[in-house]
Amino acid sequence: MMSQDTTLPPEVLILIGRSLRQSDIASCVLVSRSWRSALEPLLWSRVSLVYEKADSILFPHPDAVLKNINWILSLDLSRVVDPMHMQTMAPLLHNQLVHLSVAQYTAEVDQILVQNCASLRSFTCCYSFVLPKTSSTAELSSQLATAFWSRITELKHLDTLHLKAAVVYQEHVERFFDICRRLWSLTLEKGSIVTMNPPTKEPFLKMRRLELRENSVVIHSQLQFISQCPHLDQLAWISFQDAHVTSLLFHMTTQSEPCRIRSLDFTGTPMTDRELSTILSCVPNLQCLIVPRSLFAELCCEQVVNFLDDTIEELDLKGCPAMTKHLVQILLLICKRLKRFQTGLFSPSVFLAPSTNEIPTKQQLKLFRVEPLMFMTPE
Amino acid sequence: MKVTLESSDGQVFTVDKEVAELSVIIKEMLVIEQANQDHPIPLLNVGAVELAKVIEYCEHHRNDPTIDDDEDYDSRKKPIEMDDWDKQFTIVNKEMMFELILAANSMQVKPLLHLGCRYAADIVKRMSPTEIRDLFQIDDDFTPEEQDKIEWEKQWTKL
Repeated sequence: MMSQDTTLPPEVLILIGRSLRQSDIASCVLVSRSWRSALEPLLWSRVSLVYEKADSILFPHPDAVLKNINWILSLDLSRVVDPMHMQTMAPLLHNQLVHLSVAQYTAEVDQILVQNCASLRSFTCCYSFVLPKTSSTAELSSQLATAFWSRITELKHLDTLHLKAAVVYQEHVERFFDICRRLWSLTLEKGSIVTMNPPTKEPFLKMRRLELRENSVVIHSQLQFISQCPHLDQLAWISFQDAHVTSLLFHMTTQSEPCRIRSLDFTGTPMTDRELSTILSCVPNLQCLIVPRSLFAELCCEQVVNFLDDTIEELDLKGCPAMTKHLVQILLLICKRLKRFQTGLFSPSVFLAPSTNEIPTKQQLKLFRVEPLMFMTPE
Repeated sequence: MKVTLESSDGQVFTVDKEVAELSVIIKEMLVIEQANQDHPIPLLNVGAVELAKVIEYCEHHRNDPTIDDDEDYDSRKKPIEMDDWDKQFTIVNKEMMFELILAANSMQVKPLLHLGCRYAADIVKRMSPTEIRDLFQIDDDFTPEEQDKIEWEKQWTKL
């Protein structure tokens, strides 16, 4: 119990609120008037609108949103179906949004982008280039792309860009690379890019996080792009259709400088034991490896145990067919820093009840005691 | 160089200058009152028990790089890492921790303030408004109408 005179001042309440989720902040807002006035802005700073199916679901209520619109910093509009709601909101948002997430690049979205060009840092667009149904000519598509990329260029402080189904034509390539030079994180999914091979050797110095998933672009140009990101921290990569992983292998093994990447995600690009172990031999600082359905077997295990035992913290080996109980136990035994481990093949009971000749080691027991939930059960 | 600090209940502590300077307030006071350093610096809002604990924290973190004020809204910045010492340090009762937060706030010891607020957030997490009121001994000063209105406005957060 606190004594009467130790009410927390508003600035402290805000600091506490920053470590809370929205639903927890909502409880705090109902505590008292002073708590409400301190925390209501924070409550409304991150809003995700769910307006689906002809007004049957409206969260938060549009009136409440309009009332609190000045507090919004992060706005997710990707589940707003009716453009009417966007039309009422769009004119009211002025240089306040830091994060914006939308389903489509529409006129309203364009208006929001223009009005928040000095504040936006992060932009997500799920279907970047969906043409009006009436006229889907190539010319119109190119016009739309031109408008889109010049708008993105105007976002002065943008450092995180996530685009699905984006198109980069030849005439936008230069602009695209200029934008990339400013980015900290880039995600491109199912896009179509004429080339990712930058015209100059100028590196993308800011890029830390890169996700390239199933983009229609020549694989060698993607690798060229990756190799020009010297400070890359996290890489996720899925090849497009049947483009093979061999060139990625070649690229990683022939790099002159040691690779700094700490997180690799090859979901959707299953590899053989030999391919994956070759890649593992090039990433001495790896902390996180996500390789569901790859043939993670003896060679990979050997790489991890011998060279990554001091660094690896997360292993996702869901659906890896060659995983055996024996390999799992070796990994658990040797990798000291492992915090998350997924196999999908075993339930935690496998580890908890080892056969008599395999007494659980201290390391294993420690892992269980600290965080028993980290062993995910099969999906 | 040494600096003396005086708690609200009159206890005097002598610490190294760079330790005391983890407090933004003291750092600023030392700049202003350079000539007049014989007198202890009075800390009117901080009791001796809390001050001792704050000093213990500052002694341990004296060589840490200074963190700049993270006023800007940036969710992907990693929170300050807690080391084992910090974890040990935060094993105190709730009351003490809240007193420490207030002390860190009035002395502006930023890393300790952040540490304490994360601890407080962990306690408040998943509590109902009534439970939070009980914990801090706060009176419910809403009218039933206001209460209903806020309930209605915030229902989206339950999604």
